Amino acid sequence: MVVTPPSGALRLLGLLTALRFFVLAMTAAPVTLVAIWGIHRGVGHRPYLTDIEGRLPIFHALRLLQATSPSLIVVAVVAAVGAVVVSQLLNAGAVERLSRPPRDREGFLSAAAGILTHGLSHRRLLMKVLLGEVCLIAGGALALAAALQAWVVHGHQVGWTAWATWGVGPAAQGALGLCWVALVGALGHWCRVVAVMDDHSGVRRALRRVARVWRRHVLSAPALFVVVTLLVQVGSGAALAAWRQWPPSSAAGLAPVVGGWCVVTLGHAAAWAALTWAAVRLVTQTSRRQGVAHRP
Amino acid sequence: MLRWFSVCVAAWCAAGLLANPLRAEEVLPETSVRYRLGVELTPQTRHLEGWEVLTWTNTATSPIHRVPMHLHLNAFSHLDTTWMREGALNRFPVERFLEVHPDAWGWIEPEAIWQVVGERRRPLRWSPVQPDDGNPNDRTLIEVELAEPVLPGEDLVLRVEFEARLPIPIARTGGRDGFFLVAQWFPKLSALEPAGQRGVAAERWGGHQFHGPTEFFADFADFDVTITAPEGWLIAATGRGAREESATKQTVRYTQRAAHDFAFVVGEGLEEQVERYAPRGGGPEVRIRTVYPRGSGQLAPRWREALHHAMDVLGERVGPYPYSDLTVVMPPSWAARTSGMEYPTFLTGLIADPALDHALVRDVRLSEMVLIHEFGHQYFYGTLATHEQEEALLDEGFNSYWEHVVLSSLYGSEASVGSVLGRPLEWTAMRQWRSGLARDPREALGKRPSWLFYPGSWASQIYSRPALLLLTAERLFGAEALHGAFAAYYRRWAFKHPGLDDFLAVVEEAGPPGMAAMLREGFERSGQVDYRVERVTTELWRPPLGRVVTPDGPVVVTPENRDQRPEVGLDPTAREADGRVMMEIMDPGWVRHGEARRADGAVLREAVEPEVAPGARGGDGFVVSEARVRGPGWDHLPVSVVFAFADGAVVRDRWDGRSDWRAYRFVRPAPLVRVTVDPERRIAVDDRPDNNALSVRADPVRVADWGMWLGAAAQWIAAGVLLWL
Repeated sequence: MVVTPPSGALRLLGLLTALRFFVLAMTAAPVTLVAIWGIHRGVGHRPYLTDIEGRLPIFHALRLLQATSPSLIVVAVVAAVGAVVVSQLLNAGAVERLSRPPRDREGFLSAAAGILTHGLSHRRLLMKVLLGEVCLIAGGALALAAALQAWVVHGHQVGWTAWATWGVGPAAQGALGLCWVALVGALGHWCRVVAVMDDHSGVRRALRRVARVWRRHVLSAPALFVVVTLLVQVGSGAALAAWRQWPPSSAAGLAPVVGGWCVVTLGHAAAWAALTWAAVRLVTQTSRRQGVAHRP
Repeated sequence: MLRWFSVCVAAWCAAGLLANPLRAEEVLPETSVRYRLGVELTPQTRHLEGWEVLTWTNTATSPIHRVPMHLHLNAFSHLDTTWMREGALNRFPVERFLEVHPDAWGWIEPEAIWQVVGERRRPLRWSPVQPDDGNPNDRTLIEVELAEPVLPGEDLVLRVEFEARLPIPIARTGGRDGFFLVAQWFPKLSALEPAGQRGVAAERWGGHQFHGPTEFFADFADFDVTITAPEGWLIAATGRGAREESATKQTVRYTQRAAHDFAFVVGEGLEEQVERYAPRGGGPEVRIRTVYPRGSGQLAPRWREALHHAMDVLGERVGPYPYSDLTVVMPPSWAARTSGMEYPTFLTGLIADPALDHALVRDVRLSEMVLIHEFGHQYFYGTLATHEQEEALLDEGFNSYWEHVVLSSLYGSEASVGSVLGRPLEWTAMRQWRSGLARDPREALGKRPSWLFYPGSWASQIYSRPALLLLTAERLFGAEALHGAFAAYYRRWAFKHPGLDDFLAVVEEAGPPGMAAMLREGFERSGQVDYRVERVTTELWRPPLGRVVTPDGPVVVTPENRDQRPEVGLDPTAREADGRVMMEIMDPGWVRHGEARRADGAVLREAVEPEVAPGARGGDGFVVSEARVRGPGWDHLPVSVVFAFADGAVVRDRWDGRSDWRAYRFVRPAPLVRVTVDPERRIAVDDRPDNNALSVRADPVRVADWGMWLGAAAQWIAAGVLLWL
């Protein structure tokens, strides 16, 4: 069965996608500007790097990163923290708007402002969910690291190959870690959706409701979120790697690459909007079936 | 006899006797030390039970009353040995290692030492000594008090019974379960250094404690070793073996003449491939025995190709490999700490593991690089038996240079170490990167001892810097000249103990003028070598404000009339009527050793013929271009500085590099677009090649591409965070 949102909802989804795209672009903007500024003043003048046609050899690439990364890291962290805060508000505001009947004729800016204002009213709840997620992710990471350590110790004791000890182990840890983060992300996302729809209900109550929904809809609730977010993130990572594997050699070649990255970012934003819409819709349907009143 | 050997080697090269390879016995010199050893390994407990009969001819000029012996295995006996203090913390996380292997310790104890005089055995006393650091917990060097002095020319015969336990592999030696790499396992006599050898003022024993960052030094000896191990296990060792009759256990007797160490491997689940190879450089046909864990044989063709090529290149350019045996051990991955080691006629490569055959890393030639490096040690440590504890650069540094020569010759210089995801790994860039990373002081390479380099900087100081210095010599003077000097060094010093000065003396004699001086400076001077273009500026030339005397009389240039008199005060050479470019050079001068040697600074004006003539003149007016370059201020590291202009003109200055900086000024019809110091990249020892050139304008495509990609990468990370938080 293919479920399509009504036309007003489509407009809202478009709005949410645009807002999310804007947040992502604004996250990248300061880093990009600082990077361009730094490279323009520094390594952009160094023929050792600029004269290389095509892919940079490994040690040239390391020198480029060494020359550019120190100033970028601080900017990137600040931008990411800011983006996390705005994104939280966007999440809550989006749920709020998606759980109401769509409005016609609302300007982009006023709608955006409304979404963020609504999100602001849920700040305590959002903070609690965020902290919970961070704790769960950190706990999982520690548990996985301990498991890998035990794996390596065992491997040394029984004489495993390097491939088993240092290839399979860390790769498994990476994959499991990513899945764990995505699962915690799904839980956090659903908690936000349910709590906001229940209008400031507590996290515990939201968790109970999420558990009920997940039990009934394993595929369309947690599994969908985990799979889609992993695909989106891994796919965009692959695009990023491909950019460096086949670097543009001229300004004309750069334009489609940057355009392509914008499309990837748009896809990222659209995936988030669609997942939020799907979650809201599922909670609404479940609530109706269970006779639980949801906010009009 | 040593001279006889040298003559033999020379004869091979000169008379083309390569078609009739000599036997190793014919070229190996007589030695003053003979070891008869017997050892039995008990795998379950890692114990060695051994005995030793050591015969040493006193080559000293005076009677000997005591002799030092090395007990290297004691370096692994606890956490407060000198080796552990200096090396352990840099090599591996001790706590984690002990968590995996709580009883990892290795040790060696003589149970009894006798001096054999005629038919009598006289028990001897011994005690640990710590001449290097006074560490009372270090027992890696002992001094044995002789019962009777040994007169010059007489033989000392010692019988030693000893017990040892191998460590779980921490570094170089050890084993467990089915694999034991047994090295530094017997009480070994220290080497006696006569006065004059390696600059030694008076006769002395060259032994030191076992130190973290450096390895070994001993005299050439004849070995006759009987190894007993469980039946069915594979035994491979220095030299050549023959199985002996034994009822229950396996006993193999190995012999090797004129080697300064003896190592062996014992294991179950090991396989071997044996082949014979006649290196192109001549010498005996070599029986190569490759030992590896069962199931790794598919990697053997790669190992073989690298090894054969190393034997050919070193044989042809340095001298023939003099032994008729070579054993190559590829340890299993869990014994990786025994990998990458050299012993006479015996070496360990990188691990043999399926990981190295994985598609992602298959093109990285780490295995080959390690094999080539370890084989190179058969020369630079093996036959040219330098004192690694005191002058480690003579084996690790020299050998690293030859590792580059062999790799480049086999795989080409573009991707001599392979590639990752289609990105080449080049040896020089790799060494420069590793050397450039170090923030520690660049000490004089030729200083002694080598274990006292700045903590943690050993790899950079001993491997990369000397290798890059030699590569610089190759690029400045030519590979043939440098390799010729190495060949002369080998002819003169094989089976001896040369020092750095001995090498430089050979280069002085056999190398081209200036090479020895350049190398000596490189070995003796401290500090980083970094030629760099520091600053390039351009601005439109304008008449100077004020009263300017011209051929037509004085002219007062004011802001108002400046543009109407665009060439007032212009240097006539700027018009380049004769096609030459006027280069103004500011050289600040230099001074060495007080007033002894100096050159006063000066501003020079040189009209130079451009290497590339300018194209059509561009816009109107003239441009003032200025540039400043800096260098290490060495005496023997000259470079070119190349200036490229917007009209296509290219001008070159040859700078002797003696002053700390040099500045240039041009007034030309076109602006400077790029300045490059050392454009041919001859100064490989400059570990910051990235700052050797500077363009006036940044490359806009690269700036946009890299900047946007970095922004996108940050966005990708942030997007993941936003998606899941």
